[in-house]
Amino acid sequence: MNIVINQYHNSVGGNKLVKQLYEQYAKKLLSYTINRYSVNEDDAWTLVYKTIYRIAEVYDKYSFENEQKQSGFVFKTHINYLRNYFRDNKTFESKNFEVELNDKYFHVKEEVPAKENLQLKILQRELDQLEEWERILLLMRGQGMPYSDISKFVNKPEKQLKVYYARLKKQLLIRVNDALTRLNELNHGKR
Amino acid sequence: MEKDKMQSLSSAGLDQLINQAFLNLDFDQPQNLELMEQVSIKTLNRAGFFPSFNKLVFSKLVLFVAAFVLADGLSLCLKRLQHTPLKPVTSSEHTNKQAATEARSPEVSQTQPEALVAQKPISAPKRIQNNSVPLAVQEKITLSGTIHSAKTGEALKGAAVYKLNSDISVSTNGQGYYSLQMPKGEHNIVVALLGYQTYTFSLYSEEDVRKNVALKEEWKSLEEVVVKPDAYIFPVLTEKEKKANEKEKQKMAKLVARAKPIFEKSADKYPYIPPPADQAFSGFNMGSNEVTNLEYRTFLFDLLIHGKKDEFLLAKPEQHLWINAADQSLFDTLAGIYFSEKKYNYNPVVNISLKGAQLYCTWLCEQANLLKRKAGEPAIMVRLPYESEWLHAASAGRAGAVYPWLRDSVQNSVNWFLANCCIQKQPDKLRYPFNKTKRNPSGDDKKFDRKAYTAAGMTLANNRIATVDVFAYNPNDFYLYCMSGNVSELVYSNDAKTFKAKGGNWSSDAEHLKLNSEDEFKTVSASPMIGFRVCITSGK
Repeated sequence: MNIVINQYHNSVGGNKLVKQLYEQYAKKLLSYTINRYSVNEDDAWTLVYKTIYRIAEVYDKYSFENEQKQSGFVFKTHINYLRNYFRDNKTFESKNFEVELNDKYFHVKEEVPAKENLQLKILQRELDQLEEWERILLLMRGQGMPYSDISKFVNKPEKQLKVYYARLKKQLLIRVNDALTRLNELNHGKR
Repeated sequence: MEKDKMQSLSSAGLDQLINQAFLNLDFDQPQNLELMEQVSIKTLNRAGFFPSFNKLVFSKLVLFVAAFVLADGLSLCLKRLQHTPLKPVTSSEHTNKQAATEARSPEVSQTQPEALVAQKPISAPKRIQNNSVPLAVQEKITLSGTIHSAKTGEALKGAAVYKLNSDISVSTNGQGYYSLQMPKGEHNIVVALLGYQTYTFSLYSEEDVRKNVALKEEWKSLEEVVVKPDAYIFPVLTEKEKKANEKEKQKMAKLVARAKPIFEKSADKYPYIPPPADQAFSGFNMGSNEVTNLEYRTFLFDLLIHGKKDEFLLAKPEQHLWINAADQSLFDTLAGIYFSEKKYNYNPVVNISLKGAQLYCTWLCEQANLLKRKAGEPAIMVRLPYESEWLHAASAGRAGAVYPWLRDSVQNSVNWFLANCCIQKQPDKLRYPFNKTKRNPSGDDKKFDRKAYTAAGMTLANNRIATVDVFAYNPNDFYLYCMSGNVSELVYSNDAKTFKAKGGNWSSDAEHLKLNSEDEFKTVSASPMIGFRVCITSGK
């Protein structure tokens, strides 16, 4: 039988739940967002608050087997907000224009569609070409996971993983840069 | 309008991009969900101890602990000095070094004068004695003993003693002795030696254990082996290989199932080929590369795993065809290694029969449709392309195109090759030097093998003497690689009655690389110059 933990069940009711969630997760999420994704502090706080309020909103609808599952849920929600944040910021680029109006010049910001993130697409294609454990190794290491944990997850010796990671990253860099060079040549007609 | 140039990535840039790729993972898939949970545990359950923990803090902490330990050690030394009586300086001590040496030896201390007896080292305080055994050792136990034969009683050398499902293992020495260190707790230990029955026992102990094992002899009568002259020996796959094959298969099926009827100039594995202007046939997806050795091997091994040996025999490549290929002895060595060695994984598969290529398409189609059915999507069909489809795809929709690229030559403006072809067959038609660049206008470079048979041998690594990596050279505007050159590709003729091999290969001259050239092969069969690529259409 699964043990159902709903830590804040008794304290549901607005601010208290938010406060408890804040104390448990806010700083960790904030440091993750800033360190891993170089999001500025203001935006990072906004994302953290969004996550916490969202969790507080839906908290009663879920029950979790253990604390790790609960953390997983919080993390997934935060990841979604982070993904939306990057999508919104990268989809449009703001450009400044000067507009003449009644003999005065005004600066106007206009949002134009940004370039497709081809680098990411190429990388994702290259990642798809890799073996499953290789992909996991790169992604987990990118998230700062220690080799010891990754080793348990992919069932490979820890010492070998360090070598594999260095080689994989080197190869990936070469392949992505090759693809970018080819794209550049294609776009600029150097064939 | 001129498009902006994409800048090449640095290592740090790649890290950021990998993190972005993590965000874009599909967490509905179980393996990605598991991955995310692992990261969440690390981020939210462990890392929170120091919210802004970094290497600097860690190094400071280490320094602090080191300083503390050092200070503790110094204070201990001082205490010892305070308790040690002053050493009497005698002339005999200066002259007789041996006496001083003996004074430090407890065995002879009784024979020493009183003054020297007082110099016997003070025993360390109890606290030090208790901690003299390192913590790591305390937590481990040692299992030791001897392994001997149950029948003769003689010690067995080289018997393997190991803990099940772990890296902890040791083998016995000449006296049959072994010693194994492992953590406290429960362990399953196995003792194995060829010719003896494997002995397994469970162990739960918090103290060192000594266990002697007597192994019983094992006799297995070998069954009669009949060797038929033409018998094919099927490869035997280990569990690890089977698992890896299954993963590769899933990956291949997933890529086919993901193919979408949208034309994007991106790096899709199966880019969409829009229909021609006259709408002679509808749009389809085509493999961006020729089928590789790795992909074909996955297919063959899967047949083997599922016991389809007849199909395996039909589909397996005829590697002996490498011998005297293109009337050259140069490629003979490839016969034993081309299909099986890892370094040729991404070279195109060759020497396959027509039936083999068709079986591969059917197999890939089945695998992809399994995924499609699960997702509730309509079925697709994987097959060889028709000649008209292939020509349309190769020319990137440009009617009357000579080559897949815009130039009317197999070399670009600085004389580099645009495809893998035979350079010895048309020496007068080529422009020299091959490696003229802005930095190197004279084109001198010793790296190039001037006697090479193919462009691959000329410009690429030593091992690529015939075919070349399927992603080599620039793709055409439909993002298809090596449409001309490398290997000729199997297609159905437009009336679907015969097969053709299109596009020229590593042994073709520049004329045969042209899209509308005459057919190089009068009859199409297994050959080291012929490979294939698949196309995907909707419907069954």
